[in-house]
Formats: sequence, C-alpha cells, structure tokens
Amino acid sequence: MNQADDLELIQEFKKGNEQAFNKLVLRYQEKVYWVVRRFIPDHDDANDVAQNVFVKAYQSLHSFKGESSFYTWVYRIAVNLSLNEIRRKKVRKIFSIDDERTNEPQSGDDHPLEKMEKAELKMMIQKAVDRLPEKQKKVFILRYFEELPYDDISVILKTSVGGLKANYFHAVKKIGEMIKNEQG
Amino acid sequence: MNKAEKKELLIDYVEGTIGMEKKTALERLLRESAQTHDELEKIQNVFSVLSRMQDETVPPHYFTSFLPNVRHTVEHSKGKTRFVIPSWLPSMVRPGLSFIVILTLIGFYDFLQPGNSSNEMFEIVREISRSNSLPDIAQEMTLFQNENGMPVIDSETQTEVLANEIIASNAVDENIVSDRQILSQLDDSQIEYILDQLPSVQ
Repeated sequence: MNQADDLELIQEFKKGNEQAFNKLVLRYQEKVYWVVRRFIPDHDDANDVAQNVFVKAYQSLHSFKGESSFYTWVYRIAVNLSLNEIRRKKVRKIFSIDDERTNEPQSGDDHPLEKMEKAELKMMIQKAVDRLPEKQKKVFILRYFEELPYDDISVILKTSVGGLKANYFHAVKKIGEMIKNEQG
Repeated sequence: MNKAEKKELLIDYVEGTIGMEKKTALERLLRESAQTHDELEKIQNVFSVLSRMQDETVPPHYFTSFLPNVRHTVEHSKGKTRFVIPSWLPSMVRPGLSFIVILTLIGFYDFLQPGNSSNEMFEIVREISRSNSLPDIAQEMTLFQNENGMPVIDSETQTEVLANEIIASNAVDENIVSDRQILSQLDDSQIEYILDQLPSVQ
C-alpha cells in the first residue's frame, strides 16, 4: 500500500466506483480504529467514532484535493472526531446524562494479581493521558501509540516538527508526574 | 543549547533517533548538568512504565463487520435529505440581526405612542379581559357599590374601568377572583383613579 495506490482509488471513487472506497476502508480501518481507541478507551464509543470517520471521509472525499496523503487526511478526521466525542462526553458528564462506564480488565493468560496490576497501570496511564492538554494529548497518542513519523504528525496537526517534539516532551513529563502522584 | 533544543534532543535520544554529533553534545551536557540528567531519567522511567501497559483488545471478528457497518451507515445517510446551510447565509447573520433589533425598537416606540394603532393592542387585551370573569368581579367590587350594595355605575363601565387599571398595572391574571385580590395588585394612584371615575359616571 502506498500513497499512489490511495490516490488511484480516490480517483476511481470520484468516477463513481464505490468498490474503491471499500478498499480504502479495508486498508485503513484498523489504523483508524486504534487511533480513535487511544483517545476513547471504551470500545463501543470508539467503534461509533471510527465508523463515523469513514462516513465523513465518504461524504468529503469528492473534495479531497490530494495535497496531503489520504492517510494523514483520514487521521486528521479521526483525531478531530475523537476530540469532539471527548468534549461531548465531558458535557454529558457535567449534566449527568451518561453513567460512568469503567473499562473491564482484558482477558489474558496472566496471573490474576499480575493481570490486576496491569489493568490498574493501564487505567492510571489512560487517566494521565486524558488529563493532558489537548495538543499534547494529540501529539502523544499519534507518536507513542500510533508510532507515526514526526513529519506525518506535522501534516496532520499542522505544527512544526520542533513544536511537536516540545509538546511530546512535556506530555511525557506530565504523564510521569501524574503517575507519580497517583502512586503516592 | 537553548531549552527548546534540549527538549528536542532528549526526545530524540530516548527514541534512538539522535544523530552522532548531537548525541555527543547531549552526552556532554548530561555529564555537566544534573538537572538535564534528572530530566532524562524521568522520561526514561515514563517510557519504561508505558511499555508495561497491557495492549487493548477488540472483540473477535470485529474488523470483518467493520466495512458492512460503515456501508450501512453511508447508505442510510444517503437516504436522508441533509439540511445544507447556504454559503451566503453566515454573512447575512449580522445585518439580519441588526435589522431585527431596529424593527423591534421601532415596534416598541410605536407601541408606546398614545393615540396610534398600538392602542388596538389595548383594545384586544380589554376584550380578552371582558370575555373572562372580569365583569363578574367588577360587579362584586365594593368600590362600584353604594352603601346599600347597589351598583353605582353600569356593569360595562365597571368592567371598562377595571380592565384599564388591570392592563395599566400589568396585573392581568386569570387567577384573580376577588376585588381584594385585584386591589392588592393596584397601587394607591390607580385606586385613586378608580375612585375619581365613580362620581363622574354616577
């Protein structure tokens, strides 16, 4: 898969070939789902947002000019929709519309105690990431979890590479401080 | 080396993407500056904690049903007639609001002018007052009766006087059931006015 392939599929789609769009979804569904899931830990909510990313992409693909690659374009949609969902959830939480949902520990082969420790650690890190300022959160998720190159993040977030590294540095530092505070 | 450069180099160092020349410069700084050394340790600790984090999972076969679900939503959204805001509309919001404010101010000015068409509004309110229990209330009011309990003015005039005062006092209330309650809604000058009306219509 490369940028040229994506552009070819987009051209096909613009000519009316719906299958071309399906191929793009199949190609990027996992990546998009996981980037959304890093922002929104609940699978069901992340699933809704991830699907919505492709629905939005479908509706806007005709105006895609190809100035950036498809994947940075679709990642930008994913990041924006995820942050919108977080904001929406915060508002709903203020007005107590939603019940608090907790993440159930994932099944695995670990010893129960170890499993619990890992689940606790995961929750602690997730909480710390959630508390990061929006910009730092975006940079941290795209760099640490998605392992995107800085150049691509720079296109997605429209920020210089130097600025991204500074944000990443502060994000990591803050996560460290928050974990330290949580552990007492 | 300024602060921003230092942050950039520390990140590159931890991620293993730092060039040889910059690596040497940073390692020298790490030997000289305890604070920088401390910062590096903290960052490395965080990455070490993060690496212990358990991977998330998704339900089995989740991704096989992803595309059909997207297609279903896309097809569903195609069926809906979407409300599209015309591009010229946002630019019309400010002038439109100004126009509405001006019209409202003109409307208020017109309404407050005596002897013009706004008095029709008073007539409408008066009619509404008449159609409710106001005539009954007016007839029972001691203010409109002589000492023998007989009406001193005809019932239509009573209602008219009362309706005017109620309108003027903004005390139109369907729950008003007695003259005492009505009187409690009126101030002294309004009661004075009603009393003044009585001899003139007697």
